Amino acid sequence: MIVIKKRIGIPRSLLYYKYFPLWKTFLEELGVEIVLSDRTNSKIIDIGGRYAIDEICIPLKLYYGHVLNLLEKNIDYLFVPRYVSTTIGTYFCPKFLGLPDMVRGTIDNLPPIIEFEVNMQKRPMYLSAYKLGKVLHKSTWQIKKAYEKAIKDYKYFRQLMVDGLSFKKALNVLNSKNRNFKPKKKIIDYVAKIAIIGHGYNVHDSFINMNLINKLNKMKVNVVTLENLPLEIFKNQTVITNTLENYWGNEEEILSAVNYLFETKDIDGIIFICSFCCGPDSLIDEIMARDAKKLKIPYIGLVLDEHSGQAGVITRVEAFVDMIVRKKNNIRIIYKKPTMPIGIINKSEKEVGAEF
Amino acid sequence: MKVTFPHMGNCWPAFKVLCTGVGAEVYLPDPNNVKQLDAGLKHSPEWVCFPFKVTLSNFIEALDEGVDNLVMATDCGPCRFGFYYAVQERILRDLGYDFKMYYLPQGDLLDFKWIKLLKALSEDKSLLNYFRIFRTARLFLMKSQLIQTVEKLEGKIRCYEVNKGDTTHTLNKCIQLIDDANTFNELNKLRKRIKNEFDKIEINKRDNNEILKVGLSGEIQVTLDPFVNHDIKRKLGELGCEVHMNLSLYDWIKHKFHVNFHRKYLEYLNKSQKNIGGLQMDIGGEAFWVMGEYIDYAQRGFDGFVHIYPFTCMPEITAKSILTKWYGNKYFDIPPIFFGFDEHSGEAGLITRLESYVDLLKNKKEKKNNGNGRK
Repeated sequence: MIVIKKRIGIPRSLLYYKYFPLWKTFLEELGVEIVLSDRTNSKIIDIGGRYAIDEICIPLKLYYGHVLNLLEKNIDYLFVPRYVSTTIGTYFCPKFLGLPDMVRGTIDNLPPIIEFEVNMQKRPMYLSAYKLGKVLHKSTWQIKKAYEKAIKDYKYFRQLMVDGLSFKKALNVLNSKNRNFKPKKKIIDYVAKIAIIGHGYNVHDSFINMNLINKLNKMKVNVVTLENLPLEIFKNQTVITNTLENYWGNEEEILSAVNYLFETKDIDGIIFICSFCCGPDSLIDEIMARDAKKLKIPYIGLVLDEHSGQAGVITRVEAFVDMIVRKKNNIRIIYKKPTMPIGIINKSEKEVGAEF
Repeated sequence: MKVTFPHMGNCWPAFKVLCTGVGAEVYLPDPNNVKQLDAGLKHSPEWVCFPFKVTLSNFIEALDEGVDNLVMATDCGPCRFGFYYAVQERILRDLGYDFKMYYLPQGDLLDFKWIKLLKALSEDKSLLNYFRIFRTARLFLMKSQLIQTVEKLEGKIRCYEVNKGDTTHTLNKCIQLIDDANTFNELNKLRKRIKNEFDKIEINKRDNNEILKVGLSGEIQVTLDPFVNHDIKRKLGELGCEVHMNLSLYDWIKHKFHVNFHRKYLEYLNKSQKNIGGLQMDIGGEAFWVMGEYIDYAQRGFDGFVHIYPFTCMPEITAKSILTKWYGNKYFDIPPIFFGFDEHSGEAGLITRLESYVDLLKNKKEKKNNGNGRK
């Protein structure tokens, strides 16, 4: 008997960059074929921008683009979960809460939407997964087995990222089914260690952020993303003032990561990436910038939208890296080579300059 | 103890009695104006929503006048409002002001955390104080209800007035009357008085077919504050529209006490439109309200719908993106118009857009009535 697998389309956008490994294993175990949209390209931004209203933030515009891209791929179901909260005491941004409604309301000729609520305030994650399994008409036993495997895979995936892999590489390792993979630690002489903090869909989508991570790597900068930090730091809820606890899901991670970096000071600078019109980030950015100023840690906020010229962003990042390198070297000049004549460029600076 | 709170349109008498009722002295900031706003803009984050900037400018003005106790409301929801007081406190402290920030938790008023605020504001610590607190709360509710009455009447009557400006004059007079009354008896009498005041306005009752019925809805601070929304209600009224606005402070408070049945009806309307994208859960802000009212007005046969919100407001943008497509796909026959407000709004642009919108509505109505529109 030939079993025709149902094709479920998952847009490569928003929380794909966080929970995709989980749902991938879960759905594949349940015997479903997963269809992903193309990697973000200028065409996707174009059609997405045409469908979305002008004021919405760029990740949402891209989401529309990815959904429309999926519609061309002959899918049976569209996977749009409603993420409400994934840890107790936090919510996602209102646009996430209304995402299935927005997709349903704005795009015509949609295939049936797989919509289920992920809401840790009301029910634990496995019940949400159970609901999803029941939509696909699977037995409870099958769902239980699939979910256990999915959680195992997701934990392995997170561990890979903590060990220092990027999202793309970790996903490749997960796909290769080789569970004994151990990342090699490359020893490169880097000029600075910079953390790129931001939402997963901005940091790991190399089209939105104009391949920032690669560009920084080329400048011999050691890049740390939020997922590379140890898992324990994300356990406690962050506090804004003594009367207010943070209540945004994505920002929770960002704030804990930044607080950790501020405490350890094991970092030369922080680049905060956020999209224009992002509501939570407008306030979080302010808080972090003020904290960084107090602690004298170099901090830059990059605001991205679909109009960002590549040159402008790159110039700003280059200047930022330059500034950090100079700051480091100046200290060396003062203490080690006090008599160096003006005009002779420091050696490590020259190396960086050659890259530009 | 001298206390101040930010402005929200004509709601200041209600907030004022909340502070004076428990024995605190109130400093009322000047009504929002451009000069005051400058200070707020200077120190607030770049693309935070507009109410943040306006309220911050109110606080700065009050602190410059020597007030050292600020009161700010806060919410629990996924919208930015819950962060306002904390970030504002941080900004003001960094500016070097010395003050105490009180916050009014109104995420769920049935948890009675607001009593803590009122207790903190009053210097009297005896048990008798509880009577005063509940008396104050009742005064607050009555005043906000009266303000709601006044604002609803204002929107409905302005398009009929003979002498331009009568309604605005009566509105200001009524708000002052509400502020002056401080006992239950006086406030009860005011109910009739307000209706009489509005009856006194000389009106030119026109044919029902001529008048355009427009629903106005949006984010609460923007909808209620005439400075923030460039007095869009008055402008619509002067262009000949009967403006219907359900949103008010009283409505909001009722919702937070879980007794707002009108909102529950709007929720039902939203949920019944699941196939075409009606919201299925409360996503914060006034998105539920706005979308529900749009459906409600469409079913009641209104002519237009004006949606106003602060630029970059998250829930309202979600609502906007669905509403835009609803009219485009002809699910509902009521054209919406959207205004996002920011400090950069030019007034002339707003007027032009409103005029053309009203013209289009008139044309549409004529077509409906006579079978052919203006050429």
